[in-house]
Amino acid sequence: MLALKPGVVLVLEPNIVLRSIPDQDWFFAFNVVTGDEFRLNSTSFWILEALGNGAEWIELKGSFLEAFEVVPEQGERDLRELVNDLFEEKLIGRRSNGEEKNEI
Amino acid sequence: MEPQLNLEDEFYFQWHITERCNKHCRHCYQNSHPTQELPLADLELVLRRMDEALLKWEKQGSLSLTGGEPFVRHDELFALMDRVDYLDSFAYYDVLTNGSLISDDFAHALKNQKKLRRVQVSLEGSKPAINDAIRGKGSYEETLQSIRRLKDCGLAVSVMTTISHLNYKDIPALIALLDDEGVDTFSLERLIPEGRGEGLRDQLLSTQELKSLYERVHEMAVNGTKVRVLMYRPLFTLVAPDDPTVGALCSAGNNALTIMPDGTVYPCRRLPIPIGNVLKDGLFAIWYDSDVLWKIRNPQDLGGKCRDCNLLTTCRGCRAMAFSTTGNYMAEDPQCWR
Repeated sequence: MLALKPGVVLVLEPNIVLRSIPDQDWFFAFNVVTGDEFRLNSTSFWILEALGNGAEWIELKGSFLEAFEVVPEQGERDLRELVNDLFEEKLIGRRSNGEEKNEI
Repeated sequence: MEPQLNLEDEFYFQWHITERCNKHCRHCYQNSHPTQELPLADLELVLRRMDEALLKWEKQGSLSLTGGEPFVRHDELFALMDRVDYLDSFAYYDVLTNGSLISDDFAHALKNQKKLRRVQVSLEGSKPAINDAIRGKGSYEETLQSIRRLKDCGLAVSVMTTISHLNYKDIPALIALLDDEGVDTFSLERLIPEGRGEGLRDQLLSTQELKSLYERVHEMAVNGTKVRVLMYRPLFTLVAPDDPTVGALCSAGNNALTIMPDGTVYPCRRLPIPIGNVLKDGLFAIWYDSDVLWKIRNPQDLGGKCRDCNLLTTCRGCRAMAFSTTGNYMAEDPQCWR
């Protein structure tokens, strides 16, 4: 399970590119080195796009709740689950911004 | 029976191992400035990249080895065929040649290649006057001799013709000739006015001329000609929309790439927009991250009548024709008669 601590920045892994054709319901992430391809749903794709330049968990959570207009508790649970899946698929990683604190 | 692949399961590479050629055909998409050629060690690296990609994508590969004239590099050509013969990722390959350098020895050597499906030569008409006005004096006879030499060795032979005002009225006679010669398959490509072919811009068929020609060719193909006419090209679908063997979505951006002599990659040889280099970028980065390929894949980016056409799943026109005539590869196909 991905530990989401304050001060940890979630990032798109290097070599991952994102491409979509929304009209065709095509949302993809590709690893341009290994050739692995991942067909995504639009929500997972939104998360990866949001992490394109790196984001702290707290920022990501805020924009997710706003973008998808979900109740905070349920939204956070869903987001954690999706982020964890993307982490396990090695589409996202984490780096410290030097202000790492206790796990949340 | 020739090996055939389901398009869904196939990935096609057209590989130009040289741009050098012993001919100087008027319609050629090549200009007169050959690019750098890769040595055999690098060609093998390119082949390894293709193999890796096919295995990852779980696709069966098909390959056309061509040029320029590929037999000007016959040592490298045979070395590559030998390697592909033992790669599980490839189902078969073709050699596309003008035929003029195929000696008896080469023809016999070709017969021993395990995965060689066909040798494709080009012929522009049923008479020397038509062919030689495009491909050079004496080339008609030379091509017929090479067809016979290849057939005598038991090889499957394909003939390809580039259609323009210079030859389109002769196509039915050409099909009859190919029938007599025992040629296995015949395909037509529309003249794309680029490279040396730019000088023939005024020889492009009008929409109605192309429609009449495609209808006539289709009629001959379904009514008893022995030569198998390959009609899986954009716009052919307009002739027989319900026949799955007629017409096909262009493979550019879908299941094909063209590799040039220096490793540069194009979506299609007739759409000469560089989208990367196999050796520098790798095939995965090119296939997954090329803006050009993603634009081609998105029907919403098509222009003109192609965008709203009800044959979007089987046609979408020729992007190379759109590019060479308008500068915009997403513009409508200017030869579409709809």
